Amino acid sequence: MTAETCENGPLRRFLTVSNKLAALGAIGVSIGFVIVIWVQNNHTRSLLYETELQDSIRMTEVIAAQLYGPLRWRKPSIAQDTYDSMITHRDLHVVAAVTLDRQGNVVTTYQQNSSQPFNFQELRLNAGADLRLDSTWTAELDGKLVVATPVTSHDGRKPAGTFVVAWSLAEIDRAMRAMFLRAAFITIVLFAAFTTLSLAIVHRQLSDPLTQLTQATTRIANGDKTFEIPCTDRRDEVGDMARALVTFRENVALIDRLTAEQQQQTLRLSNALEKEREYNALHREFVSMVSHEFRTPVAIIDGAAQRIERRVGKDTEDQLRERTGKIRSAVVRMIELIDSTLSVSRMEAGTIELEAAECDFAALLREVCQRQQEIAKHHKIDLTIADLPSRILIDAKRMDQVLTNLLSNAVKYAPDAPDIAVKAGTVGRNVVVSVRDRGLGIPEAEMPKLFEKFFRASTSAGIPGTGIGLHLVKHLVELHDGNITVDSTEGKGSTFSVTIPTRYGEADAAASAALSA
Amino acid sequence: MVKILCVEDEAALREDLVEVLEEEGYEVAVASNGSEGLRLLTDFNPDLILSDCLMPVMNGIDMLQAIRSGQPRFATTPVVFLSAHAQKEQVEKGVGLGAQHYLTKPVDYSELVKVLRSLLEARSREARGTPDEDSPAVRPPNERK
Repeated sequence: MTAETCENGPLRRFLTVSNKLAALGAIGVSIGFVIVIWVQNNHTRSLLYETELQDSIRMTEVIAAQLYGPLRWRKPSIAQDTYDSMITHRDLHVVAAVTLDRQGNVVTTYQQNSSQPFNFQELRLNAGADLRLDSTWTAELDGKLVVATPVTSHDGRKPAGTFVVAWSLAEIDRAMRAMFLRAAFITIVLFAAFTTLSLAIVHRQLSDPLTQLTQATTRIANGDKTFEIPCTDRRDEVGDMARALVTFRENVALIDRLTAEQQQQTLRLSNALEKEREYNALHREFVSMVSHEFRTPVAIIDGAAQRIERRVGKDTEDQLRERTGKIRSAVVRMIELIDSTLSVSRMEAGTIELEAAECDFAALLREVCQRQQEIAKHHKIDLTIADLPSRILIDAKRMDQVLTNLLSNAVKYAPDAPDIAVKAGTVGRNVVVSVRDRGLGIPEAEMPKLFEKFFRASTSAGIPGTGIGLHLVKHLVELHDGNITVDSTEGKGSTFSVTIPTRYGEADAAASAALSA
Repeated sequence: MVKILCVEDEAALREDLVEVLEEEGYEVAVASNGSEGLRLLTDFNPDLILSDCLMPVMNGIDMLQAIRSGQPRFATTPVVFLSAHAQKEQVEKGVGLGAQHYLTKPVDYSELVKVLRSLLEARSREARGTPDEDSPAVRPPNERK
């Protein structure tokens, strides 16, 4: 089962935990900053206004003092000059000004921007109908600061009128705006910087390691086990998680190993069971075949006995001899069968041991061929001995078994082909014996299994046989340190060749003697 | 003379059977496997077939199948099987194909002779038109000889 990963749309990729955290941090800081700036702005604004106010009042009083003369002596033109020198030339931020006499009538006016008509009446009213003794001011006239101050003599005892000025607060506003813009700019820059910094830090510390660990976990879940898990050296929670992941992976690997071992075990058991079944089936067939194989010589003996009984007094000597001969051949067959079956079980138990002795191999060959020839009346066994040492060192009884089996096979599996050729000769330090028949042959595909226990070639169908003969033969030959090969064509015949050393066991004895000397 | 075809792969047993049958006065032909038996069938024209079961090239049961599905005159020829072991399914198959009798080896020759006699007598009685209630097995349909 592979791990699932969420779909990664662009929005989802953006809204990671770390991005949210970073944004939160940045926004928080920015809000704080904005608050601080706002508070400071207000404070500065108050200060500026206060300053401007005081300056404006003072300036108004200064100008008012100059206007006493013109007002007292009723010289409006001089008042105008005063305006020019005090206001225009000094470039003061005056929008409009008006001088009033003691009755409140307008004496002279000043207007900075002559294109805009100024409402002097309102200015006058603002100043208040009654004359004050001190300067008063108000900021409520169109955002302009209106200062009204009494025009008096130096000692202040002779009031001559009122001087009212509307000051422009535009400068302050401009200053304020500039300051605000600057602050805003700084805020934005700081916000951006802080966001970036937060993002970078959070990514490095949290989001990237998390992603890496997620990928690592996914890879582990998908079976990848050999890569390096990141972040295991960190000392914080991320490091803890990485180390936990390492342990997790080890556990997964362990489970996988155990599962694999178990599967192997199951496979082994299953194979063993299969082999056991096969073996049992073969064994059953073997038992069935053996019983059949036994019955035939038994039937021959019984039949011969019945005939002897019936023909008592009527049979000639030769006829009688023929019958008893059948009995004896059948007995030989049975003994062979018993021997092979016994040998097979001894072979299984590993208890066959060779007893090597000097043996006249040629004589042994002749004897075996003659015995088999007597049984196989419809075949002709032709023995050719090329050259053999007078004596060789072998287990004669076992080699007898080998040769007998090969010959009886040749007879049995060539029911329509009477020619059987046996050849023997010496090749180097080995003796080679071959048995050739022109019978049913063995299919190419079945050659590898030919010497397996219980195996019978398909061409042997209908011919009784136990399937253990060749298996036994191979075993006995190999006990002699020899080997057996077969050359066969289906339908044409088979040739079995046995090669055994002439001096079984002697080479080993000599070698080990040489070693210990 | 009554003719018996004897099919047996084991030479020693074959020789005994021929002796026993000829002693009883039957004319005997031998084959050593099923296909040889089929080859001899038409020319020899036996009245009864005595056959082993397990043989190379073609076994007894297959031979019987071929005989029964071949020429009609052999559809009812009595057949006696000799077998080293009478496996139930073999027996059933044989009976299904119209085998009259099964004997296991080693065969008691006097019993064999008795079986053959009664089978052949039953057959010849039928050929003459006289029904016989003691016939040992399946009663074949009437047939002119």
